[in-house]
Amino acid sequence: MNIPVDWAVVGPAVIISIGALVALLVDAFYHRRTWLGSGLPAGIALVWAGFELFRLHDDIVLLPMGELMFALSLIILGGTLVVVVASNVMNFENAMPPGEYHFLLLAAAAGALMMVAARDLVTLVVALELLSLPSIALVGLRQGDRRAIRSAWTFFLASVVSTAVTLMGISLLYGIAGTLAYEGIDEGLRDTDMPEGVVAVAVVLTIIGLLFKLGAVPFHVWIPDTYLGAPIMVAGFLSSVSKAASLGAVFTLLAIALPEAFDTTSALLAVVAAVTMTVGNLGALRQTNAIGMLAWSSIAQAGFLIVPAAVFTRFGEDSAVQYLAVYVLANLVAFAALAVVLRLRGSTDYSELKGLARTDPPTGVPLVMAALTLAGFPPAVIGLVTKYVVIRPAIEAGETWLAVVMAINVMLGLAYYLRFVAVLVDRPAVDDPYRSPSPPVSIRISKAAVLVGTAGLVALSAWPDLLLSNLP
Amino acid sequence: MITAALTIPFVVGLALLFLRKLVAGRTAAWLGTVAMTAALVLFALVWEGKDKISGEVDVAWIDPLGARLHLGATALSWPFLLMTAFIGVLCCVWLIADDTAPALVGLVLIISASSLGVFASLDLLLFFVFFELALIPMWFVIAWWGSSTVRSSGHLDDGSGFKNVPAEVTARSAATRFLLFTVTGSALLLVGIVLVARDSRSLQLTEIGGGPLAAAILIVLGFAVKTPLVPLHTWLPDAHSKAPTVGSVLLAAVFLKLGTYGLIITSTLLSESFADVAPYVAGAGVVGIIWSALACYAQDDLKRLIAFSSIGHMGFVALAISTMTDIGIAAAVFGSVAHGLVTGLLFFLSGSLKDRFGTASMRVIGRGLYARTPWLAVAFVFAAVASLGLPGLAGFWGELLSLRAAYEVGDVLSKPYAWTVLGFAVLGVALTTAYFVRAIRLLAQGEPVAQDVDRDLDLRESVVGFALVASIVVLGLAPGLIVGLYDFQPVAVGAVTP
Amino acid sequence: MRSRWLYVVLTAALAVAVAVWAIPHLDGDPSTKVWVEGNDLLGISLATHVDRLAAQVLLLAAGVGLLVQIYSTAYLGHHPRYRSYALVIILFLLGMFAVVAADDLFVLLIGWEVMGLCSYLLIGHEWETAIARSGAAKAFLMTRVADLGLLVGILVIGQTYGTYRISEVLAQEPKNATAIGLLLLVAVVGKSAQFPLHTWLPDAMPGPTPITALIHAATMVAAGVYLVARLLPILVASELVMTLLALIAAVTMLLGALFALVQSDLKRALAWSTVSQLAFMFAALSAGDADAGSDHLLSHGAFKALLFLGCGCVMHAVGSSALSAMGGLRLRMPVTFWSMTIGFAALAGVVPTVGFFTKDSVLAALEHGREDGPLPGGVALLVFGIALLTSFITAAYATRLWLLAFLVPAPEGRAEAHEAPRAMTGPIIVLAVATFALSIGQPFHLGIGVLSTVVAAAGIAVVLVAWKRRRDVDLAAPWLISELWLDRPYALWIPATMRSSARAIVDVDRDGIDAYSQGSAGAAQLVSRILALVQSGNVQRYATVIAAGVIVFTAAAVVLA
Repeated sequence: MNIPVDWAVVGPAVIISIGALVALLVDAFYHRRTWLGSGLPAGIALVWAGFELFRLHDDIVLLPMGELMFALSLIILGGTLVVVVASNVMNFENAMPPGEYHFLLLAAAAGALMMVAARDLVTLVVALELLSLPSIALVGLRQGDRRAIRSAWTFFLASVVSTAVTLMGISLLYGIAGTLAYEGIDEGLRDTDMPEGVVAVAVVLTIIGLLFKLGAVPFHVWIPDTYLGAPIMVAGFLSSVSKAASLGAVFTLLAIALPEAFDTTSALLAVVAAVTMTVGNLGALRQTNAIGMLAWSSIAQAGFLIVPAAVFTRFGEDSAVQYLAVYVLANLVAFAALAVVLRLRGSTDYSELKGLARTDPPTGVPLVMAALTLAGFPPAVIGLVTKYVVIRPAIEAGETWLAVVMAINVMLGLAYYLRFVAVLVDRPAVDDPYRSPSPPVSIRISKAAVLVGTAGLVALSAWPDLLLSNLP
Repeated sequence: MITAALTIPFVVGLALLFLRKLVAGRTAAWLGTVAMTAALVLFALVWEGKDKISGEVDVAWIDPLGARLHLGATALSWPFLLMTAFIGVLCCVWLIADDTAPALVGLVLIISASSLGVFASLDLLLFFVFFELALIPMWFVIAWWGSSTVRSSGHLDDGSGFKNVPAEVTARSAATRFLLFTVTGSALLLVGIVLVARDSRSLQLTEIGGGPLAAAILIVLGFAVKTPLVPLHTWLPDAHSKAPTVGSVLLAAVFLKLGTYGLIITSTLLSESFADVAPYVAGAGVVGIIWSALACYAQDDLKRLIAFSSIGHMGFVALAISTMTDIGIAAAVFGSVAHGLVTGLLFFLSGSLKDRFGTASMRVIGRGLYARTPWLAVAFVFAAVASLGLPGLAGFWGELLSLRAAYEVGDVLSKPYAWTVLGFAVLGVALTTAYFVRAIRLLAQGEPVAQDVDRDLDLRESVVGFALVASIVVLGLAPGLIVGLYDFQPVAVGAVTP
Repeated sequence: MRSRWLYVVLTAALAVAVAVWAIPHLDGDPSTKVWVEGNDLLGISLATHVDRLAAQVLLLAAGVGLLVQIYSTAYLGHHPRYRSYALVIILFLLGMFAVVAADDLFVLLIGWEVMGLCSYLLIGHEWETAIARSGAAKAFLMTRVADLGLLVGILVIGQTYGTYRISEVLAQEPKNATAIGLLLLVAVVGKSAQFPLHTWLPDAMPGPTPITALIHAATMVAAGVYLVARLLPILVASELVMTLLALIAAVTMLLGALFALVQSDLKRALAWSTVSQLAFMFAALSAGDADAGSDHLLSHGAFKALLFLGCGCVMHAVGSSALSAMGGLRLRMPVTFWSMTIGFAALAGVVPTVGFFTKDSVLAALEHGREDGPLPGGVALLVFGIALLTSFITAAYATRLWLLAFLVPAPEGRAEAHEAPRAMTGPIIVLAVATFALSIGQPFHLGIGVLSTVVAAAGIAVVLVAWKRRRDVDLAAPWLISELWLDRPYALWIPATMRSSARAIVDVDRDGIDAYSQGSAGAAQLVSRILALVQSGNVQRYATVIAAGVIVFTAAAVVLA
């Protein structure tokens, strides 16, 4: 078995791993255990990895699906960076150990990068585990929080089941193709004399693990519980970076290893996409907690993300990446803002958020903007434009029914996003909002991250070309 | 010039929203009036002639999608632009009062400007962005400034015979229903736009030369919700009756026109596939005429009545569009503009009543307004008469031209079908007369029982009323002002090949 | 007071202008003028066409309008809403002039409907009373529904002849006459209160009496006659239309006369008489004789305006239009008495009033129409017979009304009645003179004249004899007093149908159509609740869901492959 080790593929991941170790060490030897102490090396590692990524750009794009890999790596690095910066909100929360947090976070990020870069099934499984295990630990990291532990436990069990299924699929594939490298699998599937049913089962089982990470129905059940129990920025990480990685893996797998099985996967994924977005939106309808709403909404958004993978036409990967980029940005802004809210007010229930855009514009207005972007509604033009972008492949492929389902889901989505927005801009319940006596520096940093992200959304809304012309 | 005409109200509107604490309501309304007047004047001046695109602006926007910032006024859109700006001005004038919330003025400006943007767009994606942009502000206008009063006397004229009088619809739920209906429509519209863009490889109205049937169906569905065509109309009565006065006016005069304008351009752009849908559009329109007229006959709430009557008027417009003839287009544009003015006037006046009596229930307001508030009553009767299509007033020509278009059939509908439809439309005209006569009888005539709040039109109400009355008379006496735009072959966008 | 005369002056100016315009055309010199040329698509131009007929009707409208305006200064001058009343009259006259002079059918339509609106507003002038409100609503609705026939008819004319100009239409050969004729007939039957749309006119009587004289006797209701006369050249081509018109006229004239005979209210009786007389005009038109029809239009306009204005004087004096309140007014109100006597004589067709001549022309036209003309011979004969019968009844009810109003003893306890002021008597004197003056130059048919005089004399004699014998001229015929229940459909059935269907529609709207949107919202909420239930935090349940998902996926894969 020949597993190629190419710097262009693993470079950024290695840098991040180094950063993770440094962060852990700093925290171990620095007694104040401030969030910045370990966060700074983590951030530096991410930025450096980003530079490295750009330096390697020309090499990467030569790889099969290289453009996609580059773009997704960039999103993963950027997303993780936002998570790291915004996590400062947890500074001096005694229950949260910063060193471990950053270590696990960067390890998961490295796993995510590996997933996107994986060109054989072993690497994929390893990367999947590298992403999953630290994620599980992150969810349950808050010491003494029973709910977090339970969430982590849920996450873990669901993860194990789905990984087991994936491994079964992989072993079947290996049995059929005789190799684990993607290109080899492609050849193997083409030459095989196995019954088509077996091939199809193998392919489907393999994909399930990735769908699980994406949060596709019916493998979404862990998401609401996990997000609600996890530290908010971890939930943000799961909903953005983790999804980006899985999406990348799905695309690479489908495009390089499984084009033979396109009919099966396409039909299956189209249905999954339709069901996922519908279930996600319906689930979100009755939520009265911002995190719960975002959890379900992230399921629905996953449905939209799967659409390009399902139809995989001319615009396939581009549209997915563009949609993903905007989704990740908006989602992280929302999670970061909510993290601030949680720290200041102790709850993210709608009752607590009432009038936030008036009493505390720096967190309230970004939440409005993020919600409108996710809904795809002006003034967040970029949200609307990416909705257009993601509907286009379905139309291109002739799957008009899927496009109509998407359209109906846009409406369903608006129903709860609008409710959220209405809560935010409503007249405040109490005239005297709770204000932290002296907001710690760390909250200001988080707020800055939120504002920068919002500025990004506004800029993209004003000039969508910025994104659409530059990402792949 | 068009850019300026759109930017001014947007900027002033946004400024009023954010600086709402710093300005008084009256000042805000004056500012709004000035901004909308500027837009109106600019749109009036931009006109260069009916056979070309006036004031065209074409700047790159989203290259990978082929979307451009492409604005301009065509013979099709110019009447809509002027009407929208005019209604916008009047809405602002209406708000010149002490108890006006500056934010409301801001929202009115943004809604008007977005609608202007829709009419001025020559790019489908831009069109869609503006189309959606107006929705959320409208939601706030209805939900926050909408009426919260409990409906006083049941749902129907004779509530006593009905046990299942529906639970009170709150302004907020009405607003949400409005929004969700519209968004469902516009999401389908988006899918349709994507379909069209795929086939035409362009989003420019000037370059699109057709589209698949699926696109026509989806787009027509999208606009049908907005127009609205029966049976997609159920959002409208609640939204219109719960909205504040300016909200109702904008909904009726401007928002419904987004739907009809959309249908008009669809019929010109996708003429081949629209032809397959046209019979259904005609059918829905005519059913709407009859349906709404009968529904009006049983209403007690004046605003609900006017709302239902809008469905009927839009039915005539839909009928005209479905014939896909020149006369049909002229009828549709005329009908839309006239409906904007007439129904605008009706809603302003019912707003006056609601301001005074706290409700638009005709029973509570009581009879004999002729004696109690003479000018208000006279204006109301005038508006009602204009709305029922009295010849010599604006409302007539839209209906007449629609009927004529249906009579002359055109190439799309079959003759028996068109004439059947025509027959029902004529019946609808009769029914329309019946319910307006009933409303006049219940409100204007009758033994007057004075109430404390009886108060005739004040200055701002008179100004608004007079402006609309004058424009209705002018259009009624000189229909050529609008129809004259279409007496050449063929109209506007789809045909202006670069 | 001065402001009241302002409206008179305005009306006078209008009347003079119209007179100056119309008089040169009385000798039959038609002129067509286009004031504003329409554009191609709309095809509406502001064009006028004035010929002898139009000039006569213009003068009639202007004259009666002016007289009514003068009359009203006294009759309604102290009414708080005199201003709007006078203005609406002027608007009405403008509408009438538009109808009469228009060459463009759309201009005609505008005038036609403006008249309808003014009629509505003026009938409802006393809108405090329920009877006026319902009468106004009924008049407006019935005429407007009928007007839709005109609207569609105009569309058909435009499509058939390629123009909306009457002069250009008439210049062509008749085409598509049956369809056009039937549509126009609907409009005309409504506007001129012919069977079966005749019931609105008697109910329009709550309007001020001068208005009745102007609108519901002399001008607007006659516009239907005018329209048919104007378009007769293209309508005669259809035997069906003409037969239908003749039959409608026959039924209406008889019914109207019979109903007039039994009324206990002077105004209502006159209204029925108007219905009947209008039918006479249509009968003449159906025989293809436009001149006879329009001559009777003019003469009827004069004497019926006279009768209504006289009726107004009487009402002014006794405060009611019920015949039971009248009587014994001959000496109290000499001017009114003599003027109205002339009017009744004209109605009954007594020589030498104009009514005699023009009615004879109608009869002659019908008699003549037996041999040639658009009607089948039998129909013409039938209508001729009915017209003679109607003349008989007309003479009878005219006499009866005359007796009851002026000659029978005054009811006990009535306040002393006085002659009306001069502003009111002046106009009726003018009209009385006109009733004679218009006779000049009317055609005279000897045979018919003798026949009709005999018939009229018989009618008068029967009533006089009955009165001499029994001192009672009331006819005990409940089925006539209830007007054959012909108003039932309009008063009860149609409104009831509309009300119930309106309620049904509202119910269906809410519980049928809206149920789908409400239902899907409910379904979405339900699914949302179920999804929340699955999300119980129970890990085993999650594992079950995932396992089930895997099984489904596997099965799907096998099926799909």
